[in-house]
This record gives sequence, C-alpha cells and structure tokens, in this order.
Amino acid sequence: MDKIQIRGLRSLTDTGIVELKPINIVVGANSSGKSTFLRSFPLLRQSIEKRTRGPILWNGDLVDFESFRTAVHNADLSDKIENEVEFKFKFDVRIGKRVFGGNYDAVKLAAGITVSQGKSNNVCYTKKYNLSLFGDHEINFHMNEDGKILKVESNYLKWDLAEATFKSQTVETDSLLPIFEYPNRNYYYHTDGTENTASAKLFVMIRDKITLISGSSSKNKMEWMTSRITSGLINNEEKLKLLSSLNSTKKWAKTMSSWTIKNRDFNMLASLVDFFIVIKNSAIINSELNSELRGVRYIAPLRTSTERYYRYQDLNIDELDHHGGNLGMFIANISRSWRKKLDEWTLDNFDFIIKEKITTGHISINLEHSDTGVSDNIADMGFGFSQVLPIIVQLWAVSSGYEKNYKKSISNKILVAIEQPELHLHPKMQGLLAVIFTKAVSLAEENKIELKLIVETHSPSLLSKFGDLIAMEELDQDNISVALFEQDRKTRSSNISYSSYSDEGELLQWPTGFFSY
Amino acid sequence: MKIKIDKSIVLSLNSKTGEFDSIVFIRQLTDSIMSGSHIYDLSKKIILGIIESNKLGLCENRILKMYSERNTFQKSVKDNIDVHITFYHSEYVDEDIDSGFDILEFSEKNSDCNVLGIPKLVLEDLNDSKVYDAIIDKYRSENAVISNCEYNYQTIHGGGGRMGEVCSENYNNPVNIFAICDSDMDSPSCTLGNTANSVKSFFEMKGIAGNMIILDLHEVENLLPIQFLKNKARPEQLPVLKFLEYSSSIKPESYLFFDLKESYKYSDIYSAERISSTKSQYWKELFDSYDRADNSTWRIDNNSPSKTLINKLSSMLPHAINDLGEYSGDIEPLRLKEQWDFLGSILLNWFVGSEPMRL
Repeated sequence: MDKIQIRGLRSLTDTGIVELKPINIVVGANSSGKSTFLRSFPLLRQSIEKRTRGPILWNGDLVDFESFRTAVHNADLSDKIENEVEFKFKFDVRIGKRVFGGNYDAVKLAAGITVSQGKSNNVCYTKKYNLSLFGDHEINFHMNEDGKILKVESNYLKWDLAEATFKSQTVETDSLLPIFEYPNRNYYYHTDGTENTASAKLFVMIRDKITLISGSSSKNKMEWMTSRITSGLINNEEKLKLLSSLNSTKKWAKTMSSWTIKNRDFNMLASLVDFFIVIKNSAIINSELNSELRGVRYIAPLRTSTERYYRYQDLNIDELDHHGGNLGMFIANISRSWRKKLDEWTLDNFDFIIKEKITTGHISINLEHSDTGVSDNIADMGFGFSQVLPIIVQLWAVSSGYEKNYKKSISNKILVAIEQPELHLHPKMQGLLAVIFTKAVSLAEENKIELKLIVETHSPSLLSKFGDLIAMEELDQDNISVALFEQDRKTRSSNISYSSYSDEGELLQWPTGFFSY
Repeated sequence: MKIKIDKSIVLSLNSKTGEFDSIVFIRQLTDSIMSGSHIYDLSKKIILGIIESNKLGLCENRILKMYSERNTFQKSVKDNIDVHITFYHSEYVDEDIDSGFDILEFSEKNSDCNVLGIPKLVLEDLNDSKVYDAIIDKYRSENAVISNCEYNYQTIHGGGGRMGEVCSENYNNPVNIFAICDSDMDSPSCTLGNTANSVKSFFEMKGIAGNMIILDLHEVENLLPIQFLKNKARPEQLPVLKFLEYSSSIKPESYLFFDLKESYKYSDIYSAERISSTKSQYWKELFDSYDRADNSTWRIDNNSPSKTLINKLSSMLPHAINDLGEYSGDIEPLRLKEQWDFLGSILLNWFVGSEPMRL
C-alpha cells in the first residue's frame, strides 16, 4: 500500500492522501487523532480476517472502535447520524490473462469505500465503491444496504440500474472491497449475453460497439476482439495501441488510425472496458488489498508486563500478539537456526541475547548480557525491557523473513504499526529505537520484504536520533516522513501537516515549540 | 546572533597541530550553549564529528549531544535569523567564509574574555531597554516561527553624550557589542545629533557598522504608540497627541520626529532667524494647517516666542516607558509600526538566544 486517505473516522475528517514511506512517524498532542490514524491499519486487518455483516469490524481482537455510530466523526455531537466514513487506498494490482501472450505489469490502483449507517444502529454498509485507474479514470459504484448496485458512473459513462436490472447485481457485503463476481477460470471469456451478470451485459455492450465500428459480420472475430481488449487492466494509451493492432475490416483500420486517446468514442469504449474489467476482477482487487492488510502487524501502546513464567503449551505460535502476551511461546517456537539470527540481532543492537528456559510446563525468558555473561529473568529487570522486547522481536520476525518463512502465504509487504515504542525507556534507549527501526527496514530490504513502519511517538530523542542517522548517511531522508497531528477542539477535527528531514538531519517546517510546555 | 561553526574546527580537532585551539574554543562554545547566550547553527555532522574525535571531556560531549537533539527541531527558527558569525580555523578552512571569526585570533587575543557570552547593548539610558523588550516581544508574538525564541542581552548605560566613549570602553571583539542611539533629528531631512555621530564613527571605524542602529526617528520616546500615550495622558496632555494624529495624516512620518519631551517653542518655528531651517520648514506647514483646521484648540498668534506651541509630555514619558510592557494594543501610526517591525527583526537577530541547558 503506497497511500491511504481516511475521511470521517473520529476526528479524522479528512487526512488527505497520506503517502506511506518505509518509516512514518506520527506525532501530536494527546487526543489529536494520531492513534485513530494508526489504529485504522489494525482495524482494516481485523475487518478482513473475520466474516462480518458489513465491510468493517469495528470491535475486534486488535482494536475497539465499538461501532460505526461511535467511530464516525462527531458521532456524539449529532443525534441524527448522517455522516460517512471513507477509506481510500492506493496499492498494486495485477490483472490480466496470459492466454494472449500479454505480459501485464502490476498497476497502481486507488480503491476506496464509503461506509454508511445501516437501518439498524449497529450495522454499516458500503454505500459507494470508488476506483481510480491510472489516475485519470474514476469509477464509482453506488450500492444500497442489501448490496444491490444502483448506479455506476465514471468520467465518461453513467449506468443507472433499476433494482432488478439483472439477477446477480448484488455484491458480497462482508468483504472489505465489494465483490461483484468471482473470476472464472476460462482463458477466453465469451458470452451470448444471456447470463444475468453485470459483466455479461457489459461484454455484450463492448462487443456491439466493436462490431459497429468494424462493420464486420464475423461474430467469432468480434468476440475474440472483445476478449482481447478486456483481457487485462491497461491504460488508455495501451488500449488504443492494442485496438489498433487488431486485424479487422478496412473501416476498423480507418477508424483506429483517426482515433487519439482524447477521442470521445474511444473514451466511451475504454470506459466500458474498464467497467467490465473491474467488475470481473473485483474479487482479485479485494484479494490483493486483503493480502496487503494481512501483512499489518500492530503493537499496542500498553504491552503486557512480562511474567516470571509462561505456561508452556504445545501450540504453534506463528505471530506475536499485539500486546506481546505470547512472547514466551513465540520465542520458544523459533527454530535453532533462526534463533541464531535473532541472537545476532539483539546482540548487535542491545548487547544481550534472549534465552528461554523451559521447565516442566513453564517457560521463563531471560536476557543474557554480552559483557558479563550474566542472565536475568526479565521479570526482575526494568519495566522498559518488558515493553520494548515485543517490538524488538516483532521487527526482527518480519524483517529477517522469519514470519514469511513460517507462513508462506503472507505477502512480502508488511506494515508494522507501533504505538509509543518509547514507553518506559530512558532517552538513550529511545534514541536507540531509531537505529533499530532503520536497521529493520534495511534488513527487510535485503530479504526482499517491503517493510513499512508507522510509529506514533512523543519522543524528541527518537526524532533527533533519526536526524543523526540521516546526517551520518545511515538513513535516506526520503525514506522517512513525519506527520504532525493537531485537533481543533471546537470542531473536533484533526489537521495533519508534514515535516521532513534535511540532508543534515534537521526537521523542516517544524512548528516551533511543538514539544514545549 | 546565530553562531555557526565551520567544519574546519572539526578538521583541526582531528589534527595534531591545531587541536588545542579548537579545544579551547569548543569549551567556551559549550559554556555559551549551556547559558543559552546565542542560537547555534551546528550541524549534526559537526557535532558528531566533535564527539567522535574524543578530544573533549564528558561534560562538553554531553552538552553537544543535548544540543544536537534540540537542533533537530530548530531549523525553522535558525532560517529566520540572518545575522550570524562563523567561527573557523584559518589553517583548515577550505572555502571563503562570509562574516567569519578565526579561532586563532580568538585564542590569542580573546582568551581572557568570552566572545560567546551574552552580547552587550549600549543604550543612552538603561531604562530604554524596556522599550526594546516590548518591541522584541511584539515581534515574536506576530511571527509564529520565532514566537518561542529566547533572547539575551546585557544593557550598558551609554550616558547621553558619552555614548561613543562607552562603546569604545566596552569593545573587545566584534561579536558582542551593539548600540542603539537616538538620532535627535527633528525631521527626516535634519542632520544627526552629536551623540549619534560619535557612535556611528566608532562602529564604522571598527568595521562593525551592522552592530549599530541610529534610530530613524527623533529619540526612543517616539517609539511609544500613540494610543498607549493617549491611554496614559491626563486631559491637559492630550492636545499634542491630537496634533500628532493630524500631522501623521498629512506627513505620515511626522509622529517619529516630534520632540515629545520638550515640544517646540514659537521661536523654534516662527522666529525670523529660524524660519528657513529644515526643522521650521517641516513643522511650520503642519502647525499652520492645523491652526486653520482646528481653531478651537490653540492659536499661534497668541503665543509668545518663549512659550511652547503645544504642550510637552516630559513628565509623563518616563512612566510611560516603564509601563509599555503591559500595553497590548495596536502599534500606530503606521510608520511607527514599520519601525517596530524593523527594530524587532534586527534586535531578535542580534540577541536571539537559546533556552539554558541543564545537564
């Protein structure tokens, strides 16, 4: 996911388009909206992991926004809820078929949903599904609470659908992005138009349009040309090139030679093609986004205090939970060869290694200090260690490839959202976290993992240390962004401004006195 | 003032021949940082270079580390401060330095005084600083970026006519002496007064004319806003302020040049021997037209040569200066606001400091 925009969620009336860099720092006063922003990532992840009545699971295992009613902006200021919550994402999607020898690159797609209150207080539904293709073609699907498509519109076309234009115009309502149809496995899509689906209707419209332009009477040829142009998601320039390369009648060739991408007829045809492709591939688009959201890891602000002993269970723990409560079992599960790598990571950065001791039915976690060789049970150490250990282990697990190796199905795109990593840490250790974050991103890059960190912090030491790393050329200034959240107390609306680092590690456009009291 | 440190300091620190000069300088620099006398433009690279040289003590390194953190958040403020001086080591410098100070000169000639200490401001009267403090505070409040800036200066009493000599007595290096002097001009075309001339000559002779301001107005009292004076004035003191409201509408700068303390006598403006003077020509036109415009207030032809044309404010002005810090109203007339903005910017550039540091 490259970009995200959130509207109407608690104080986030409109975040604007937030570009996600490898390291994203979020700062602001208490209750300024930064946690809402950060928690929207685990919110989305929990929404895709369970079957829900609506697109969003407001109250789940990771975060609790309670319900749509409480999550919507100004919820408690108005009796009548008319507001909406909108999530918009820009991410990679690869749509295409290889049957024609086409080699489709992943395209950046912006998709967004507008969620609205259902008839029942506790239910929300997707009212609008927005897709932006290639930055210039906006398609909006409007739906009712039952998931019926009411209208489809774009820059060039508008398609009003009565309640029962065709039988299967109802979308799946429990997915994050609406699913209109599941793609069939046929390489060569064709239809006689009798299927009661939106894609079949659109396919026929495109075929008829092509037939009209070409004047050909060959139905097979026209179907083949339609299949060819609807086989993958490509931009309008490529569409025109592809259409021009198709052999048909002289009339077709003449029309194609006269068309440019600004031609109205071409744009109408291109829009129909895009409608067809996004409907036909709606499950893939949803799945691609889900795949990215499954890579969201969340570390909550208050981590579980480490215990002297953890109950040993013969469970296969493949992911650290967001409070670090299963830390003992997670570490105990790491195989010997991976443990060696984890030891190197902690030794390099913190001068200790994590040792677990398994006695009958229990595990204890000890930290062995490299300088003395002495090891202490973590319960006997400062509280700061118990708070930072889940962060250290989680970052190592994702950036080293351990998680990826363990769970083959997860995407190589990981986003770790961390609230207040500096909790209970001395400023020196807070600064060290900047080094860890930077190293985690580099390690992930070495392992071909696209790691993005979203870090909410109140620590000047952490920000300053990032500056030191930039000054010493250990971190690229373009790989880090700093978002500053401020809330207007009257409107309860958050405003986000941005700061960035100069090549000398100083923050630009930094509001003076931001950390003053 | 913004204190910049050139990378030649780090280079000399890592050499065998130049390290001592740099160590002496950096010790004074860290003392200065601790007290927050200036704002310091030290890049992180330079700070980390100094620390990594291992030539300084724990205390100096700790101060530099703490300043490095503070420095992360100060760029916007530093970019708003133009007046700077760059300290460099002449044996290791590899580029031309604008407004520089060689630390060799510093260690040879100035090791007994702290060049980086709190800057000195010579004023004609110590109490004048209350006006300048109010100007800086107003300027900070109107400029969000520098609103939290600290400022520091030590006031030196210039003693009126002796001001040029006082500046000379307090001079020991070009970095830390500044002066603001009344022009004593009664109109924009009048010549500078003697005190202003002597101060100007001294600063020009030392090549530091940028460290001095001759006020572009009669004297410091002309920096008091008219509404503030009206609030302070007794009813019998109001006529002159009413006249100045009128004169500012005709000649906007006139408010700045009127002698508020003494006002003008009939003979200053209308006597045959002075009628062709620059002062007379400037003010006569205003008095004449004011006389015609508001006949009820006063009449020129009823004045004897020794009487003032309009009341003076000498008894009120010292009290007004004392209370200026409490005034939060508009700075008017317009030309006065321009002066406040100009002086606010210069003063903040000269005296910007940092929050003192605690280890």
